[in-house]
Amino acid sequence: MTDPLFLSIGALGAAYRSGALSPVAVTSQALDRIAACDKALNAFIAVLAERAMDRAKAAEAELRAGKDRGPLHGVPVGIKDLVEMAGVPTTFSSRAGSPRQGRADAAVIRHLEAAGAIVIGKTNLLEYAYGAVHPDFGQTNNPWNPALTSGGSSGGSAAAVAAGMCYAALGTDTGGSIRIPASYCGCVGLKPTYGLVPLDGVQALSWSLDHAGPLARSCADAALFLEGLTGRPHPVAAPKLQGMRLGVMQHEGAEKWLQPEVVARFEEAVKILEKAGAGIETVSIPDLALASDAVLAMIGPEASIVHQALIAREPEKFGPITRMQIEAGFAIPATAYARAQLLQQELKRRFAALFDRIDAILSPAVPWVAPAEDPPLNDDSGPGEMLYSGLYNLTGLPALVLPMGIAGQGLPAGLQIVTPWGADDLAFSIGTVLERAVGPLRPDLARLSR
Amino acid sequence: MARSTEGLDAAGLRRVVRLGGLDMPEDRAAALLPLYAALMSSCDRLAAVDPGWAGRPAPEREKGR
Repeated sequence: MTDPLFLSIGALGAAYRSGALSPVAVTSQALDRIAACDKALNAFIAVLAERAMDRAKAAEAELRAGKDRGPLHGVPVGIKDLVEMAGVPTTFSSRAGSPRQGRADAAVIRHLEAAGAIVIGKTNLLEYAYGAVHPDFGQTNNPWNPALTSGGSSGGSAAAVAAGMCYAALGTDTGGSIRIPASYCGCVGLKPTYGLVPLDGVQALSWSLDHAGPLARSCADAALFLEGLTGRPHPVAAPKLQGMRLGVMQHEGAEKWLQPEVVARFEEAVKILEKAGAGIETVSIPDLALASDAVLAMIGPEASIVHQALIAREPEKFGPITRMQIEAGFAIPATAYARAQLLQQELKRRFAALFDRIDAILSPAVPWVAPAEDPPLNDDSGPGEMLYSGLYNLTGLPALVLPMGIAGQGLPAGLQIVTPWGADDLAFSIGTVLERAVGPLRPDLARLSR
Repeated sequence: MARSTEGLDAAGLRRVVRLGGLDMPEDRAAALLPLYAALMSSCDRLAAVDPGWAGRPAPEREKGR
């Protein structure tokens, strides 16, 4: 029999409504899965067991009474531990300014809980979502191989979804922090259009580049979770690629980092989309290679301003790498920040012109499969990791990552689909075509619970 | 391209950080030098940004989303 924790959200909802499954039983199983596997993964900072079971009982009672809140009703979800929830502490995976007791629910929590979703726990992250593991909290390990990282910074959310501990989870993405873990863990992650998902109550890192979005196991599930986050419908149209123009983006210098098996899976994915009717062409944008530099020049000073009070008051409570990154950001020249903004505007103009003649852009999500640890920003591999992701934080374009197969060492690799501003749903439609061809990827949970 | 941090020592970096709004001891600034030099490499590359791009309007498609 199918593991209920790996059902799609749609199938779970149908089982709830037919009486084949119940929110109480499923939430209880999800808590059991966390108890069995999270020692190996370290995906959760806090498991809200009692609260989740109370909500599950309420959801069950409501559904029985005919009060149906929609597709997320009774569905266990995870929340990255930098989102405020009333009465629940937030750690930000840091000792600085942490834990902070939540006084009010973030807008995304209000929307999700109004839709009936059950928050099962707060997920692990890189400290304040800023590129480094705090030693006290530790790395979230990869469900495909717990000796490797799940990626950052939303690694806890990605690992929890991939291991069937919840059906979807919230991540945030300032340079790739939803999409990199999605690629490493073999799940679906969307960095939506800038501004689509409300960020009030979500800890800021860099206000020019911050986004929040879904991690899930399919495009359909991610779209339903996005509806929950925004409180607005995001219907995924039946995928029709006939007549669509897809551009394979060229990235100068990418060959330095690209693993051959990632290239092979990418070429296969492009062929699948072409066979489904899409026209494929190679596209390029001048000065794209500067995008990662611009992201670093913007994150640095903005993160330092966000954390200026904490770094002055209790610097030793930050992890050593995060502390150095925040300190160094105070010394980034204003001219570098302004040049980054100028590049941001110019790239937006160039992408807008490109989208006049193509429908979506394709690239790998990350040049490689999951490494042992997240690369630090200041060594050569840091910019390599966000080669394909950071530019879409800069431009605010929606960017979806989904698995394109197993690329080496038994590890998944992700495809990135980028669509025009506001066309987040189109990315889901295109992704669905690949998803049907590749089939579901699932890690071996037995190795996590030994 | 000349590296903008060439010749920068801990005392100099401490002054730059202070101008940005954070005070720190000199030994802390010394520990920060390698990371700062790496970040400044990114900033140095941004010198290639064309100042002629300034003042051009934002794309209509983005404004109209």
